[in-house]
Amino acid sequence: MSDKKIRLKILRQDSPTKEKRWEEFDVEWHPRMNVISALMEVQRNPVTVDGTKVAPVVWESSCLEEVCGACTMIVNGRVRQSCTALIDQISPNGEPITLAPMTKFPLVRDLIVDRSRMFHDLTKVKAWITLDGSHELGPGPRQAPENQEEAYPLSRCMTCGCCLEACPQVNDHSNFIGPAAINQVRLFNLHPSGSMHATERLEAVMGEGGVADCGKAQNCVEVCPKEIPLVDSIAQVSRATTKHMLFGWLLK
Amino acid sequence: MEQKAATSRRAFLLRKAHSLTGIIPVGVFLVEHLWTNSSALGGRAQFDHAVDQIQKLPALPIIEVFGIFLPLAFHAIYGIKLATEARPNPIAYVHGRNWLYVLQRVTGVLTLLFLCAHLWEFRVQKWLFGMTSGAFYDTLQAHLAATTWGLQLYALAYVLGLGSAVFHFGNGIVGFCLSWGLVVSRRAQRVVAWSAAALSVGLFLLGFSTIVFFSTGTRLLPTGQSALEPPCPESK
Amino acid sequence: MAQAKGIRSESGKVRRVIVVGGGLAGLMTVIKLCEAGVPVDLFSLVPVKRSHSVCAQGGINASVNTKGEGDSPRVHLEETVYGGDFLANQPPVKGMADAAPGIVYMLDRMGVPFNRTAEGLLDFRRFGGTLFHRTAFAGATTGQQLLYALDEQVRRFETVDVEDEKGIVVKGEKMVRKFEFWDFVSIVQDDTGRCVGIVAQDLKTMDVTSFPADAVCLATGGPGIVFGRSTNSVINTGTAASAVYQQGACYGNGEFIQVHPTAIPGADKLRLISESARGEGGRVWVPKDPKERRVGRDVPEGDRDYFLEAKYPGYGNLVPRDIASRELFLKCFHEKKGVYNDKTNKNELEVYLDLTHIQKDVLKHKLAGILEIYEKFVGEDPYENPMRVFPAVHYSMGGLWVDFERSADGSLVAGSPRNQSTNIEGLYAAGEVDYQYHGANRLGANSLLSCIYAGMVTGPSMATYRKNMKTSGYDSPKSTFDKAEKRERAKYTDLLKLDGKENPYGLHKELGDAMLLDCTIERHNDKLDKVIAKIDELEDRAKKVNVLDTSEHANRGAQFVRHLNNMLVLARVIAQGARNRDESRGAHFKPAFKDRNDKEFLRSTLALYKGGEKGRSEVTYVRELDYNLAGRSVHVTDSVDISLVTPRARKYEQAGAASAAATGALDGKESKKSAAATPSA
Repeated sequence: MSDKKIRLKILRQDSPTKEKRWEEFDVEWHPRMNVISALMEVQRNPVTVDGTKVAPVVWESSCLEEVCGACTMIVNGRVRQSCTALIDQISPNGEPITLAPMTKFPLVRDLIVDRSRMFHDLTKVKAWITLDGSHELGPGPRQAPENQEEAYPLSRCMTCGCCLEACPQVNDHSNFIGPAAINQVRLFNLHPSGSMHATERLEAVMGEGGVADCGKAQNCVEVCPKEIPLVDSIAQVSRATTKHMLFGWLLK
Repeated sequence: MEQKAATSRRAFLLRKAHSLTGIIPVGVFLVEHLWTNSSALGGRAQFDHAVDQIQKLPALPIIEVFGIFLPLAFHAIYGIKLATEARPNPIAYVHGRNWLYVLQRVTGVLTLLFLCAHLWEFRVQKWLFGMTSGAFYDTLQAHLAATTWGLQLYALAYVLGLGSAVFHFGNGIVGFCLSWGLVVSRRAQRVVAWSAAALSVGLFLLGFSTIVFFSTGTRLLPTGQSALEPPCPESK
Repeated sequence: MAQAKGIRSESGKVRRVIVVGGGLAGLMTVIKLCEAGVPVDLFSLVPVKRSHSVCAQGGINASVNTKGEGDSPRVHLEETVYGGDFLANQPPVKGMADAAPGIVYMLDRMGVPFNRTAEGLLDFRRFGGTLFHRTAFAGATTGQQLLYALDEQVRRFETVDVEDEKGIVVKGEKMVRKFEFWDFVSIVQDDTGRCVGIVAQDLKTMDVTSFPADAVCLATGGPGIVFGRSTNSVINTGTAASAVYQQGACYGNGEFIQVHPTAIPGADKLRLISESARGEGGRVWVPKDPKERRVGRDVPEGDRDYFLEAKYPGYGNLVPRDIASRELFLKCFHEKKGVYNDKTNKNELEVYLDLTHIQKDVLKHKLAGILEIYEKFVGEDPYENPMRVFPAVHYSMGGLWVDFERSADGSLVAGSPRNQSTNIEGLYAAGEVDYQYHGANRLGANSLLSCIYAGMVTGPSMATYRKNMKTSGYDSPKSTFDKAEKRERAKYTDLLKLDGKENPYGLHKELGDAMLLDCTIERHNDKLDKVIAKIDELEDRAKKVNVLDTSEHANRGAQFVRHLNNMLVLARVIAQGARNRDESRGAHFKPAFKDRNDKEFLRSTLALYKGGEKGRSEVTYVRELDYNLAGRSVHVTDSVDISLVTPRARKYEQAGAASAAATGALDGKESKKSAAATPSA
C-alpha cells in the first residue's frame, strides 16, 4: 500500500445557528479515489490532523455517477459534483483539497444545504405536461428526431444547483429564479403537448425575478456538469417572452 | 390575483425598458455625440457648425429632456439598482463573459460619474451660468490640454469616461440582443458579440482621436473635410 | 357493517395513504392513487428526483414491434419467464408484458424524450435475453428521463386540490404532500396487526413522528448496499424492507441477487456500463494471450477471444446477465485471462467491452450518457479505446413477498386488493423492493417496466382496499400511534448512547466484503457458512459500535447505525437463502449443484423474521402463509404459478430458444401446450 496521504480541508458548521469552522483530515490515497471516497475514509476514522476525534463530516450523495445531482459542493473554490471530482485530477501533486457547502442555499449542516427552492421553482414554471391521465390513450405525438435531439440535453438537468451557485445574479439581494427553471420552460414549450400551455410557463418567468433578471455572466453554462446549453435556453425563453410581451400584453 | 399579476409584470417591463433605453435613445445619442464632436477634427468652424445645427433643432429642450435626459436618468438610476443586486464572482469563476458582466456594472457606474462631471462642465454651465454653445470648443480645448502636476488628468479622465461609455454600450448591445431575444442561436450570439466589439472599438477610436486632437492638436484620424477647411489656427 | 366512507375520517382529517419511496414505482403508485381520488403522503429519503431510478440507463421494454420482427407481449412474457429461469409467477409477468406498450406510450405522452426513428416514431434497441428490438430508450439515461417524467406528474398533483365525495374542494389540502429527507423507521400496526401508518424520522430536525394512513406502500428499492460497493446508489440499504420484515412481512427469494456483467470498478461504487452498449453492437473480449501487453485497440482481430459470441452463438454478447457475469468471472477469476496490467504485473479482473468499431456519431446519439461516465471516471476515451469492465452487484430479484390475484385469462384481476399486497394487511410493496416479476434473473430493461407496472397495479389495488375498509387507519386509537412513536423514539435515543469501540462504517465495509466475495456469482456451501458466521459476528459487534455523532441536528451517524443493523438482518436472509437452495437457477449458481432442480426448488423462498438468541436475528423459512385482507383470510403457498409457459431448460446457445414456445419453434406436444396458454388452474 502506498503511504501517500490526501489532505482535506473542510468547512464545517453543525447547524445554521452555530459557528463555521475549518477542519483538516488526512486520508490514505488509493487508486481511482474521488472526493466521496475520501469523505468515506473520514467516516471510518473521523480524527482531524491534530488528533481530535470529531463527528464524521456529513454530506449529501446518492448515485455517485453524476446523474442524481445530490453531491454538489464547492471543491477547491468552484462548485461541482463531488463524485466526479477525482483526487488525482484535483490534487495531482497532493495539494490540500478544500470542501465547502454551497453558499446560495440555506445551510443544513456541514456540506449539506437545502435546495428545496429549486423544486418549488419547477412548480412555479409548471414544468410538466398536463396529462389527461395515465390510462391507455395510444402513442404520444410524433416528433422529428431533431426535436428529440434538442429536448434531450435540456431534459438532463438534475437540479444539482451548480448554475445557481455560480450565478452572480442569484443571491440574497435578488430573487432571480436562475437558469435551471428557465431551461425547463424551454424544454416543455418545445414539446408538442407541452406547448399548448406555453403561455402559462412564459408568464411564470415574466414576473419578479424572472428571465429578464439574467445578467449574461454565463457562468451557468461553464459550471453545468451536464453541459446543458443554458444560455441558449435563456435566449430562447427571452425571445418567447419578448414576443409575449409585445403581442400578448402590449398590443393585445 | 389580477393585482398581483400587474405588479409582477412591472419588474419585467422595467428590465426590458432599461435594456431598451440603453440602446435607444442613450446609445444612439452616444454615437451621435461622438460623431458630432469628431467634427472638431475637421476644424473649429466645422465643429461650431455641427453644434449650431443641433442648437437650431426645433423644440430642442423637449428633445433633450424627454428624448435624452429622462431615459438616461431612468437607465442610470435603474442600472444602479441592478448593479447593487449583483454579487460578482469573477475570481472564483474566471470566464470571459463573467468578467464582461463585472465590467458592465463597473463601467456603468464610471460612465455615470463621468457623465455627471461632463454635464456639469457644459450643460449646467450653459443652463445656469450662461455659457454659449460657441464657447464649447474653447472650453474643451482648455480643459483637455490642461495639466495638473504635469499630467493631463482631465484628458485621461475623458479617455476613461469614453472607454467606459463605449464598452458599456457595446457590451450592452449584446445584452440587449439576448434579453430581447433578437439572437438565439450560438452562431448569432457570436456574430453579435464580435460585431458589437468592433463597433465599440470603432467608437472608441473616434472619440479617442477627438480627445487627442483637443488635448494635443494631433489628428489620429484623417478627416475628409480637413483638406477643405483651414487647419485649426489655435492648435499647438 | 360500518364502512369507512368519504374523504374524511371520523376525527375530520383527510384520509390519506402513504407511499414510501419516490422512485419510479413509488411515483407511479402516487399517480394512480391520485387519479383514483386518493390523497397521498409521499415520504422519501432524498428529494424524489435523486432516487436510484435515475441510474437506470439502457431503456424500458415494450413489445411494440415497430421493427416488424413479429414481437408481441406473448413473446415478451415467455422471454422474461425463461430468462428468470421459471421462478417468477407468470400471471403478473403476463400482466406486465401486456401493459408494456401502453406504459411506453404513456411515458411518451408525458414528454420523455425517447429517441426517434426517421418517421418520428419511437426507436427501439436490442437488450439481453432477446433477439427482438424491444427496448425504448432516451439516450443512455432512460431511467433519469422516466423518473423526471413521473416526478413532474406528481409535482402537478402537489398543486391539485383534494375534493370530497361530492366534488367540493377541501380547503388547504393538496392531493400530494411530500416529505423529503425523511427516513422510514417502521410501520404502525393496530391490535390486529393491520398497518395503519408509519413512523418516520425527519433527517434535519431528527424528530421521530408517527403518521396515520389508510394503507402504506413501500417502494423503497433494493438492498445493493448490503454488498458494500455495487452499482446501487448509497441510499439503497434496504432498510425499509428490512424494518417491515422484522415486523412480520415475508421476504421472498432474497438469495436472488443480480450481478451485472459490465461495470467500472471504483473506490466508492461500481459504475454501471449499460447492457445497451452491447445492445448497440458492443462486443466483449479478452486477448487470447494472457500476457498480451498491447493496449486494447492495438490487439488485432485474430488475437482476440470473443468468448461470449463463441460460446453462445445464438444470443452472443446479449445473453442474460447471470450467464454473462458467470462467463466473465470464469475468464478472469478461474482462467486468469483478464486484461493484463503491465504496472501490477498481473491479469486484472477486467475484460474489454468494445464499441470502437461503431461510428462515433451513432454512439454519441445513443450511448453518450454511459460513455461520458466512463470518460469522467476512468479518464480514457471509450470512442477510441475498448472499455475495461468487470461484473458488479446490481439488482435484487428478491424482495418483500407480495400477493396477486389471477384472472381467468391468466393475468391479474384488475384492482384486486390482493395484488402487490404483503402479508401484513394494509401494507403494499412495489418496485425493486417486491419480489414479483423477475424470478431468478431479471432481463435488462425489464426493471423500469416492472417498477412502473407494479406502481400501476398497486395504486388501484390500494384504492380498492381503502374503499372497502371498515375503519380508517385514521380512526385507530391514538394510543396505537403514541406507542409506536414512543418505541421508535426510545430506540433512537438508545442509538445516540452507543459509545463502544466499533466504527459502524468499518463494520459495513466488512459486511460488504464478505457478502461480495462469497455470496454473489458463485456460491459454495462451506463459504456461505462462513458468511453466515461472519454475519453473526458482525451482529454481535454492531452492539458495540460507537455512534460517532451525537448531534441533534442532521445526524447521519445514528441514522447509519440503524441502516447497518437492518442491513445485517437482510444479509442473513440473502446468505441463508442461498445456503438452503442446493441447485443452480438464474443468478443463484452453486458449482456443487450445477443443475436446476425443479422437483425440489421450483418454489419461492419465503422468509419470516424471528428474533434469535443473544439478540441475533434469525430466519424462518416457510412453505405456506396465511394472512388477513379486508376481513378474510388468504392462504398462499410457495409454489410458483407456471400456468402460461411450461418450464424447460435454458439454451442461449441457440438463437430463438428463449421465445420458442410463442413463436411455435418448439417441437411436438410441449410447444402446443404452452403456446395454447390455457390456464391450468
